Amino acid sequence: MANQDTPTTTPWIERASSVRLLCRLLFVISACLFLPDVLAVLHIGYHKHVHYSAESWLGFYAFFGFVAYSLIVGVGWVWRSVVMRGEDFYGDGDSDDA
Amino acid sequence: MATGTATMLEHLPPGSLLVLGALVVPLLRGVPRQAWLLVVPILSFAHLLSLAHGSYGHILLFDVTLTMTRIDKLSLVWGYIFHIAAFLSALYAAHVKDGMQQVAALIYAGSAIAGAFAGDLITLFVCWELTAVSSVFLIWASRTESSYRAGMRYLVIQVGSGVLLLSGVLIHYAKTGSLAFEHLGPLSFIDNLGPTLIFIAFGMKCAFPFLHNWLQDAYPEATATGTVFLSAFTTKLAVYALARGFAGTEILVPIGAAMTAFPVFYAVIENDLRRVLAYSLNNQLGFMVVGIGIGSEMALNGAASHAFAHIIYKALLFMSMGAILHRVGTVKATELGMLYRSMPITTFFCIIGALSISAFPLFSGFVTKSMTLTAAAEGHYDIAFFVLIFASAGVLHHSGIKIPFYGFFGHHDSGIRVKEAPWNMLLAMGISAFLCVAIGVYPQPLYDILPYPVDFEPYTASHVVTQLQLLVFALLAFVVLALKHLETPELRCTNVDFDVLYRRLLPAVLRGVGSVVAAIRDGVIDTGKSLVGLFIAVIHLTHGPSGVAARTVLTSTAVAIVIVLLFVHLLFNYLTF
Repeated sequence: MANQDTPTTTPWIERASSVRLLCRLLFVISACLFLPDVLAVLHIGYHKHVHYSAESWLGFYAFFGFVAYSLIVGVGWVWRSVVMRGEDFYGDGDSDDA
Repeated sequence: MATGTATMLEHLPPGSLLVLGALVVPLLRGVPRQAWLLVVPILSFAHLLSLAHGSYGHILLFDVTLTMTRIDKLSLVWGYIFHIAAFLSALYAAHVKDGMQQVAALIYAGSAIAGAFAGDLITLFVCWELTAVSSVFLIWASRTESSYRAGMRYLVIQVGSGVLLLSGVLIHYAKTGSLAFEHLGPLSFIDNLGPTLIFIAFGMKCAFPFLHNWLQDAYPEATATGTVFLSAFTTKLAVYALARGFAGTEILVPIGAAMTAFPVFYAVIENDLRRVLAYSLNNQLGFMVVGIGIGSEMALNGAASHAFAHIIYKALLFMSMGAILHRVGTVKATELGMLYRSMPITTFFCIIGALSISAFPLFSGFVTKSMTLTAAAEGHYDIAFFVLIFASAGVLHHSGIKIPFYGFFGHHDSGIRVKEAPWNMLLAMGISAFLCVAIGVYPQPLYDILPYPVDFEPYTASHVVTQLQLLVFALLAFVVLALKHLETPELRCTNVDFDVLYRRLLPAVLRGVGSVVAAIRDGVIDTGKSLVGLFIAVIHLTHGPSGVAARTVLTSTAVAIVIVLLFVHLLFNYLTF
């Protein structure tokens, strides 16, 4: 449990520059993933197989994923204010002694 | 001789070797015992493979013939995966020396397997209760006050489910004269009470909304290894039972959709990462329940294959959290940070599990869950379809990002430095991770064992692109929210769920009723005492030392009174006649 093997230099993944790089990489991947929808709208080489008309909208799944995630976090804030209680609310003691 | 042995094995239901093997465990010590715990699931699996499709083990009980074993394609899916889970869980727990856990785990796994092959409802009931009674010891094995209480609540609900099941079975038998565990017909409290009660019993074990809290209550209280066993069997036995008895029951579609959605909002704010996984498990069950409710061949294939893949990746995720619990002593997100430095291999396996449950292409969740989604769309279950997509983004949040991120990375270095997980844990996680990738890359062997012929191609450009768009843009939302510091922070807390009704409200109501009853009882007693006191006072007044009745009277006075009375009597008679 001691800090005896703490590396002297910050590991690559913990560096701010690495996090920035990974974020940029994600932005690029996201942009690339948006591209097929543009091709589908222009009927160039990619056909989106859909069951509902909404699915064929430009960037439907990208938009849905982004909004759904944001909504979950947003509702999480509200829900927490409703249901959060003290850690020993039920008076059962700590549960991490397994 | 060989034929006799074969016949005897035919009469033993699949899984029974695990139960019998558990009885041998206390007789062994050290390495032989550890080896035995790994060998028994393999023997039991070989036993299952030796049995052909059909019904075996017919027993005449009073006037009823029970069918202990029914082997067909549906039950075999569960038979295979339960055996794989039993072996992997036993390997993961190979370092455990606690005999109670070892015996309980084998009986639990064996009874769940036997339940999946039960050909009649009485055999199912026996297995149903045996899973409940054996599994609770995996919770109690933590040997804490909180685990004892959670175990008691778990037991009450699980056994209650069994009692409801038996009631339904008896009513069904009285009406139809059949105990066969087949499709049980439409739900109606008036016209078809038996199957309806059976449905609710299945729903309790399957963690339907409002019947679900035993799952999030009990699983995080079990031991690090016990939760891995628990995650595999109980709820999936219920999923099997629903698939067998209630396939195509429409009400399951909204129930399942609700199950996929609401746990997401609890998982997002939960601090205990094993409880996050318990909510996630609930959400995954929802996908299977929707598939069963739709009831088409593709949907049932989706539910069965999802159960198969889910058991492995969910066990893998519980294993990785169990490894943290084993080494660090806690899985609370607030206490952890940068554990990847100490446990890089466990981190890697956890990320494989996270990618699988999130259904990234090339991982097992993708080739199974997408079948249910397609079945929902083709069956025109419009709302359910979009709820399932929404829930898929939720899965990415709590299981895809939250579990590996807060378990092994986090926003700060906790300073905790521990050893990597023991070799047996790593091996179990490694095999599980391999299976997650193998199923994802090459799903055909899994498709081949599904109940119906598979007419589904997961790796179309459209499937892959739309799924990646959903997941990567959800990931993008995570990054944006994290950069803006809008993510819900991890806090040490308890989040009140439906169980507050029976853990706080019901006891409070009972205490209120009790105090009212006590007040009435005290009132009655006090009033009675007052009345008795009053009566005694009156008696004392009349018959006490100075009372009228206690006064002494002179004999001459008495004679005078008698004479007066006689005179009055004489006068009365004289005047009358």
